[in-house]
Amino acid sequence: MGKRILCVSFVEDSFDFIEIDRQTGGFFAQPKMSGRPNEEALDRACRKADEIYVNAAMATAQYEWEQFPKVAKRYQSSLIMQDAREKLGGTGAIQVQFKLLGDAPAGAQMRVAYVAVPEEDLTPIWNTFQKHMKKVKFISPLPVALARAVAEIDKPQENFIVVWVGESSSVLTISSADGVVKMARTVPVGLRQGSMPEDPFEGKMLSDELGKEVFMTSTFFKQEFREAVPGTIYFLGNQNLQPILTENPMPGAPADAHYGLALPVGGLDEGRINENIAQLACLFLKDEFSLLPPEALAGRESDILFRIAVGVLVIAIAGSLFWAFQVVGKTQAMLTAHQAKIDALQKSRVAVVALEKQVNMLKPFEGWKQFYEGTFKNRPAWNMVFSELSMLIPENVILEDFRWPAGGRQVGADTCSIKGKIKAENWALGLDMIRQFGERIQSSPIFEVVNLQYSPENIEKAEKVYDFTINLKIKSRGTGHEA
Amino acid sequence: MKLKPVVLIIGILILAQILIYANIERGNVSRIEVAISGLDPQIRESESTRLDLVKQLNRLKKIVEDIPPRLLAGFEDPEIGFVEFLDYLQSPFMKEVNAQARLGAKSFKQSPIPYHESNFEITFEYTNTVDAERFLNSLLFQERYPLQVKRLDIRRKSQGVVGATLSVSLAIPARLKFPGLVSQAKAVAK
Repeated sequence: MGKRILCVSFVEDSFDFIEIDRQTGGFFAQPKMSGRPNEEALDRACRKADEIYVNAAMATAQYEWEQFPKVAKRYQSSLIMQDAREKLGGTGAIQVQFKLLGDAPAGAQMRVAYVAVPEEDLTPIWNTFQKHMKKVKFISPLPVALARAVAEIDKPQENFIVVWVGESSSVLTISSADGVVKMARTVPVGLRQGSMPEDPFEGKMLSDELGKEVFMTSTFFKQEFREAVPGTIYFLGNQNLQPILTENPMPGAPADAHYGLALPVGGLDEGRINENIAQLACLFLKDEFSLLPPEALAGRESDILFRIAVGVLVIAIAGSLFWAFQVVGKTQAMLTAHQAKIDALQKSRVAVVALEKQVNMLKPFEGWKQFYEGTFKNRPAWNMVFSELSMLIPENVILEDFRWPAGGRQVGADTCSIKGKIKAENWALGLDMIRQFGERIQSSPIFEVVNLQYSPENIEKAEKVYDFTINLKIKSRGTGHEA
Repeated sequence: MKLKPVVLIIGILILAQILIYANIERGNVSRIEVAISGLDPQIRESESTRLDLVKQLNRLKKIVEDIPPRLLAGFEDPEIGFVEFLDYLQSPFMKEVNAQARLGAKSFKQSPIPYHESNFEITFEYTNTVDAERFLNSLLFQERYPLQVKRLDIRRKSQGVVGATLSVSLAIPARLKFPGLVSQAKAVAK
């Protein structure tokens, strides 16, 4: 999207302007109204414009290149202001704009280029654009704008002279190669726009007068700056200058003379560009030597601060929004996870309750199991005890007593005791029979020997008889069906 | 009214609101994290309880399967069971060993299940062990009356006769309070 730039010149107490559209393809000039525009036309153009640039001849402006002691930045303006006040004289308020050019070759000094203008010369411009001051980007002295335009377009390698010829006055400027004005003068020499002068002598007179002024300025420049006279000169402001000065060569003029600038502005031919160079030169201004009113500058500063504050706020809001969205996203994720955990816990608890109900229902069967085991399941094999014993008992063994439970401390409650006698030919044989009997009982599927006690009944007797007691466990037979 | 301060104030208010909101949300995140970390042990505990109960249930199901249904069917009336047992003691197998039954104390017990206990002391004699075994088999290994042998004393008497004293307890389960419980439990066990 393009921007409408209003380029205004204020020369010889009258305004002139041209509207330029700055688009991605470059600058394009709007058709210019014929004649000098009145205030109403200027106001209308100001309202339509997005940006306003003003170049003013400022005949009383003082252009200086000076050396100052190096001081802190906050003291520089007052130091330069004091110097400008001494040079301009008078007691009126002045506006000073300066540019640091670097350190001086010798000593702790800095080189400064500055422009000092009495405020009374700026007041008409400030008043004219008061309503549109926010759009005004620059109010620049015409020599500054011309020098900058030449430096930007032609990029000369050394100092150069610009001679801008108006209808009743001309501006002579000597500038450094990078477009910083070293010296500028306004001289009362002019040339009417449009047709060539009818009187040939008029051209000769213009050439002579300009030559004289250029010579004087160059001489002053040599004295002031101790530098050679610039070898390049630009004649701008009127397309008739070239034929006039070609026909009437200017005495003492530098050999390298130019009569126009190839400004990249669409919609205007070279001649029209040259005629309107006082307005168009502002397109190449940089942010220096701008003479905006102090309150506007303060406003700009506050505008910049406001924009910085708004920018910081926008970044902070965007950042905090990003953070907030992240946190909200995390909260949602956590809530989902929390709900999932609660669901899992509830599911588990429901399952636990159902299982508890089932377990409680089946719990009484533990008692039934004990009851079953105590009555039917773990019954000793009573129905096999006697036949089993009869098979195991050797000859000469008499069972006298069977008791269940056996009682006593040495054996358990589920143990029975069998008492009896063994008769043998001698003690050794009797002992052997007892051992055999014990081994046979031990090998029985329904008995388990706990212990065996024996003793000879009476060693005095001829008949050898052992009394014995065997404690046995009777293995359970199970249910009748299992048996 | 100046626009710039208003814009700045509104911007600051919006920023403050967003920050406060985000901060509250962050607090919520912390609280939810704490709540989740509090739920984890509960879930683990509940899951552990569930697994324990599953094991317990499986064990109980196995128990239910092991108990014969005829025992669970039980006695509709313990008194009838008791007198039926008295009739059973009049059976011929008693006479074969000259058995004499004497009723002892009766009691009601709660554990392991509620049941009525009736003590009997039975004396019998035999000369052949086969007779004694047949008697014991008929008395103790029938599958109708739950009997627990408390004591058995056998002593040789004169002329090949053996005398025995058998103490038994007849344990008849009490009538169930909820007759349908067994069938329900069986259904659960399946």
